[in-house]
Amino acid sequence: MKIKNKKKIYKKIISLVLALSVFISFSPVTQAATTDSKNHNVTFSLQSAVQLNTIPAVSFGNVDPSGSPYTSAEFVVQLKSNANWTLKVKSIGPDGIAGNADDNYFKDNNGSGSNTITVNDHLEWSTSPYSAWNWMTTTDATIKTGTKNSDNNWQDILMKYRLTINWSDQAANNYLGVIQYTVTTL
Amino acid sequence: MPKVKTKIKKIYNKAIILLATCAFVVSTNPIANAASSFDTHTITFDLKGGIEIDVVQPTYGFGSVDPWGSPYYSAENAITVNVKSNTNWTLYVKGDQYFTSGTNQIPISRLSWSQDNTNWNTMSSIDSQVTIGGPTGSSGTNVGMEYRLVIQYDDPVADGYQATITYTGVTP
Repeated sequence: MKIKNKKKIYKKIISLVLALSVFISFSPVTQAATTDSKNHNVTFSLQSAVQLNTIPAVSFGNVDPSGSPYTSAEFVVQLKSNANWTLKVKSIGPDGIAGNADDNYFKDNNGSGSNTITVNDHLEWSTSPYSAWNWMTTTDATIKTGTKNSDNNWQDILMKYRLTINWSDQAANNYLGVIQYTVTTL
Repeated sequence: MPKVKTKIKKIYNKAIILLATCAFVVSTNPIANAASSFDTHTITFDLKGGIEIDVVQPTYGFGSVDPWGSPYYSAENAITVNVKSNTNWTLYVKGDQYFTSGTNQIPISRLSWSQDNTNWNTMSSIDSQVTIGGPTGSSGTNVGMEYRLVIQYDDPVADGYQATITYTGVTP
């Protein structure tokens, strides 16, 4: 009788083990996620660069020797640079081309007239806080040096001009000269 | 005389039975000396989902760049990621935290990626989903990618900036 019971228990255990093994072998949950990764590199070389921006024109309006000298409104020269920089200025004459004979002149009739006024003894420039004035020349004069941008915003350099008019200067309309700003990285 | 007849009949009957038995044995053992045995077994396996990623270009170079010319764009489908999978899959991308050149660093967020050259996604150092797909067949599916690089004036000038971009494919 006891042997019969043992046999029954043994059979039940076998059945349970078989049932479990079937469950495990067919269970879809056993499938694990698979992954694969691959790398590649992105490369570049960053060169030094500068960007310069200023207002298109400074006008003194109507002037005469009795009111001289005339100081312009303050204006801004803006630059961006990813390296240390030097800002320079010079006169290049009404034709806007450096190195010509007219570099040192204002000319009337918006630059096409025959009346001329020399630049290098009539126009001065100064930068904030305007403690010193410098005669404008036809060769680059250093306004300021600075360091690379600490953000992506413009760096502002505040400027003013001062115009001196003499009694020997010919009265005429629309005298025009062209001033060139240059920023270079060091 | 009738006794003799009966005996003959009995002998005849026995002979008939013997012949019949021999015929039966012969008919049921056609190859009397050959032996054969048959058995079968089954072959089973579980086919798991698998995935293999291949970035066709080991390196993508923007060359010389500067903030003036920024942003810089790769060509359309400049980067090809080949995905092979026998099940559904998801493709992710992430990058190092910085482009580096010596001690110089530029955040990886200056790099964006796109699949259509129009909608741009900022590269992150955390996985971002690129796309999903189904079983690809043996040649796989090519996922085309574009890169855009933005340079600012506060980024330090240096040669040889590099960052590693990692593409990861995952099956459920």
